[in-house]
Amino acid sequence: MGPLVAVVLTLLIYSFLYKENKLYRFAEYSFVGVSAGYWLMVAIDNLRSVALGPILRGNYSYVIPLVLGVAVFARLSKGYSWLARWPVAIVVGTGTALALRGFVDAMFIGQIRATIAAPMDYNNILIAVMTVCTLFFFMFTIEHKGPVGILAKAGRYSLMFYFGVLFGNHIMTRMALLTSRFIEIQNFILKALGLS
Amino acid sequence: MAKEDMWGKLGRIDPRILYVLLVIILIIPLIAPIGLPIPITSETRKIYDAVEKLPPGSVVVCAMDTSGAAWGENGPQAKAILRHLFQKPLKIVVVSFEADGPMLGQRALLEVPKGEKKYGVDYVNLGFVAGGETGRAAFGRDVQKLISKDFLGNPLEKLPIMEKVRNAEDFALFFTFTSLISAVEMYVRQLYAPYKTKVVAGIIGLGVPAVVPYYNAGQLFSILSGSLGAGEYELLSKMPGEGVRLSDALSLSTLLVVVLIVVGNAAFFGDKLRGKEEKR
Repeated sequence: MGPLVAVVLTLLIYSFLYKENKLYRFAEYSFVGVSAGYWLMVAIDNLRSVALGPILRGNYSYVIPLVLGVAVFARLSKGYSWLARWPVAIVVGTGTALALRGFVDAMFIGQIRATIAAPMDYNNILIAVMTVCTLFFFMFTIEHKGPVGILAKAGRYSLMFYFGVLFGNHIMTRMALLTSRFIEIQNFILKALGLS
Repeated sequence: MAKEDMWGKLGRIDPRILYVLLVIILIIPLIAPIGLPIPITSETRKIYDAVEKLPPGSVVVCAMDTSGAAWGENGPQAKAILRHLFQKPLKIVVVSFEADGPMLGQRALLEVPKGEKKYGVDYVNLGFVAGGETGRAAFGRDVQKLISKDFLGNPLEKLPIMEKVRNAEDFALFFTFTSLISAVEMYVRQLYAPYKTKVVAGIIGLGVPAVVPYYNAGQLFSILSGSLGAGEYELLSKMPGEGVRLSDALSLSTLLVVVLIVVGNAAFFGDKLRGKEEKR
């Protein structure tokens, strides 16, 4: 039953390519509804397994995040909306601290080190030059004139190269996703005809 | 009304004609595979060699950080890798840090041949871990403290495989199959930076240019690039599957897009040229 539903809904969605129609709308709304339902179930299941489960097993420290979670709903009340700031502050603070743990080394120093210390081959020299030129493009404290202007312009072309690569990969990905749907339809037809 | 010339007509082709063309181009290689060559990249070979050289009993984690929308590319990748892993004497842990992942991970596990491997002993699906970056960091720190039950609801203490899976130091190789560049970055921050875990990014083609700098910097062990990467891996492991089937259609459809880009640009510049001539 599952593959049949998947194939029918795929065809209904692709019917939009001809023109917008009610069958397409039906598939679209079904997708939104099923997604919302699924996410609700995931949230409830998380609440049960991550918070309520440990509390019921006697780990009462989980009451704190549970109370903070409930405090998010205080936003709905005019008088107590300030309570919602606490969980948001904790989530943002923890998230930032955690991200910063590896950020400086992995995303900043590591990248600079890799650019500088890379072996001197044509590819790496080109990457280093393009990196410097791109940085010049984003340097707005100096007017883009003379040598700086040339470097900034080279930076602009470097960015365009990158966008070109990105566009090419974008097309490849979209085509792969489309083809995989076709493969699923083909598999369904072959199975229905008893050929696979 | 002035009669429209060739350039004008080219620039205003009904998109539905292009869709039909695309469908035809995609269907032909699916019905009659052409067998266009698939060159193996050094990145894919590096992954294959690493899996081949893993000592028996090593723990390999496959994080299904993907969604239904990206499964078209991540699916063939995950299945190609899992098929190979299941042929080796390894312990396989499937987990997901994105909500859609557990179902897709389970689907991949169901679809690949598992040989003599037993659930709970040789492989496990730990299901969904909430929290994004926080969840990933906690997973690297202490798996058993973070997760109490697997995807099927079995308590982890009843699964023998979990005796070998405690923290990131136990992971011989960590795969992520994802469409999210941010997910790869999180692993670089939370697994590579503190534990030097070998992270392999099985990412959709669209995300590859954004994660290449991490690979060049040595922060990623390797990259499996889109469905083409899956096709390459299938050929290396001598188990052709969806990735190989996709590659013919992908090559032809990309060729069509290139032709259409050339036609579109020719129409644009031809139109511009005609405008200049008319002004004269």
